[in-house]
Amino acid sequence: MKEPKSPLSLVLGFLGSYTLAWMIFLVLFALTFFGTLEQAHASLQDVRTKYFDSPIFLTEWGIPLPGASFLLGLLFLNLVVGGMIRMRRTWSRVGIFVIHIGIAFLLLSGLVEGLTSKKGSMAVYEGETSTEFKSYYDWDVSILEQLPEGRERVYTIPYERLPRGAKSAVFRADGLPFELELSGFLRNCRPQPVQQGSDAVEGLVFRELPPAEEAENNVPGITAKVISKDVRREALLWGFQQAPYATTIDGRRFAVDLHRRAWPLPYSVTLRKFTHEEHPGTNMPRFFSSDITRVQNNVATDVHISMNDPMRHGGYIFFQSAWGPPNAVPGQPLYSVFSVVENPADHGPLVALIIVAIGLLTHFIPKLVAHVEAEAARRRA
Amino acid sequence: MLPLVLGCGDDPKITEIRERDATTDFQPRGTAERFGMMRGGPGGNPHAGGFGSDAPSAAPQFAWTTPEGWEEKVPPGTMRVADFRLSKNPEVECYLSVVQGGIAANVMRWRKQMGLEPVPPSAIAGLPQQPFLGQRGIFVDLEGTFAGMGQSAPREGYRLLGLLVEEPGRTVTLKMTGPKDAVAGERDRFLELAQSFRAAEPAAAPDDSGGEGSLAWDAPKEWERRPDQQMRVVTFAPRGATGTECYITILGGSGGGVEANLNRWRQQMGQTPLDAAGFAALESIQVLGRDAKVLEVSGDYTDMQGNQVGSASLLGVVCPVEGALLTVKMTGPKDVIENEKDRFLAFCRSLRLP
Repeated sequence: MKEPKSPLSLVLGFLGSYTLAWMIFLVLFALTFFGTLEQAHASLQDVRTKYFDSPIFLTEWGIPLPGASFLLGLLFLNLVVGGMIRMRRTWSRVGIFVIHIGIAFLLLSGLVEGLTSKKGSMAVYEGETSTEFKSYYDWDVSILEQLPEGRERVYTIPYERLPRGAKSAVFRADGLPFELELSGFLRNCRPQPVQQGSDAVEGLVFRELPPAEEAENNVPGITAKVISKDVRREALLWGFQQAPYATTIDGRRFAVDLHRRAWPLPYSVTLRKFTHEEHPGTNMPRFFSSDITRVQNNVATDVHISMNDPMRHGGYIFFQSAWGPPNAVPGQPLYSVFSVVENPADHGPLVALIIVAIGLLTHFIPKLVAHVEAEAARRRA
Repeated sequence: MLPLVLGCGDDPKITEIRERDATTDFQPRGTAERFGMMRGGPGGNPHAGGFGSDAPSAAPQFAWTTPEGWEEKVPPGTMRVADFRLSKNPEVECYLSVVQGGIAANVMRWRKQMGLEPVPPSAIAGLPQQPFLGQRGIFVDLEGTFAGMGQSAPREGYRLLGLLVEEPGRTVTLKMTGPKDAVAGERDRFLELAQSFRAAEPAAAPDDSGGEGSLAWDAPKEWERRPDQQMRVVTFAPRGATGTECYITILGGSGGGVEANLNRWRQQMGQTPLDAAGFAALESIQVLGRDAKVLEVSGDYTDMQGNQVGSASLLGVVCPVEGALLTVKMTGPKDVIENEKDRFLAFCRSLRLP
């Protein structure tokens, strides 16, 4: 008579089971299917956030599904428990073991990328230099104080801390002679003049717009109140504003800005020349590329970046992604746009594939050799 | 790397603090000017907010009335200030853009998009005009094979309706494209929309103290104050008069400059722009302690809403003040304006900072 299994053994058994693996793959298939359909009329970023980051969510059709990040975590456990811990360790299974390591490594790379990578963009006109790239989706609020000798102090309130919906939030910092109250955050809006209205600031209010089809095109707005013991001033901050709200408190000059999060680069990028060609008789781009000069530690390097030839340097990848202005007339200065990615796990998928390939070869080459030998033996017989 | 220490929950403390070389403009500006809504305002931070296929430029704002049966869409980039689709046929699109280059360059660009050959400048000068943004816009009506930006393939049997007005430093265009039969059915609504467009120029706050109470005046006793309107500091009109009004605006920054504003008014009256000699010959009066040019012009007036008034006159004074441009404008029937001229000038001279 069999001994009853312990609860831990039962849990490990389920975690490492083929049943769980199949269930995960089926749900991942459903996520891919519904996510693709939902992407047709919602931004890629919004769908990705919904389908990956939520532990559980409702699809547009009311079907509850677990989020992809949760499922991939479960798949990782399934691989580790079923394919590495509980698997019988024999020489004939070494290849399978290595394959599981490779897939687990791929999942870990995805986790590292999800947690640490930075993705943004850099737009530069010919002759201009940039030392930073800007986030696609994250907008921070900064309070800037003018300091002597051409310096400024920056107090940053990250996007994640901005109050959403009807909420407001008050922020303060050591050394600031005022509090900053933020409210009325709108993810996508444009300013609009109004005749009257309690919410109007200098005759303007924000009009909320539906989310843009591409999430990076959303232009947020927020209302800021500068509050000190003597002063209460209100300002609208808009993503496309050309200048921050500037004010003087206690004789000190401050500005409040809503801006895309900017990440500094360890080198500068100067656009020397932008080249583009259109298909004859159309405005459709056929080819476009940028000649840049990268300067790091006083060493200048000329690099050519084109549509299928990115620049990889210092942990950053620069892809030639766009150019503009879209309606430029002949002779108008053009700018080049690079998608910039900082991803510590950039080479993760390649390493994972190599490990999986080694595992496959380790597993199948002995089988091939055995098969050939068996065939030879059969012929000899 | 920045010292990044995020607060938890509702912690109000700002913990991400650093110093750097100054890059910020600490000059106080009105909200409208900061948002790029002032005509002739700052040239615009080319990297304000946007990138990618969205031109990194300012987004000048306008007000308008969306025609029935059309849907307003989120502009896909900042080059498009307003974006519309025909509800029953989304292939028909219409959008307002603020672009560089003059009228001729943009008409040529549109002709190229429609697969048409360039035309000589004289042909462009002879194009018809339609009301647009309170001015007389150049009206373009083209048929051909459309290959606009981002089109996957040229589209045959298309029609393009366009309106253009040139302003200091920019050209404003309204463009509708789609299958020619569908566009033909929407032509009237396109022109209605064009006529409804008006510049939204709220008064700029000249400083931290706010705009209210920043200007004082002595209004003629023959005038009465009319209800406040957006973009105006104050509006007056002769008692009981209809079709006549006098109002003050304050534009942020240079406000486009004295000459550009006077010429804009001349264009609203259907007159040609003044040259340097013409400006030099204009009468000057003292306003706020400064010399201010006085414009008096007659013609057929097209107001900011596109309404046309025949046999009208315009009196205007433009006065640059510190960090702003003050304008006083009076319009109405020619005979009424002639009678009001002395009172208008006295009103302008009475302006003062309290």
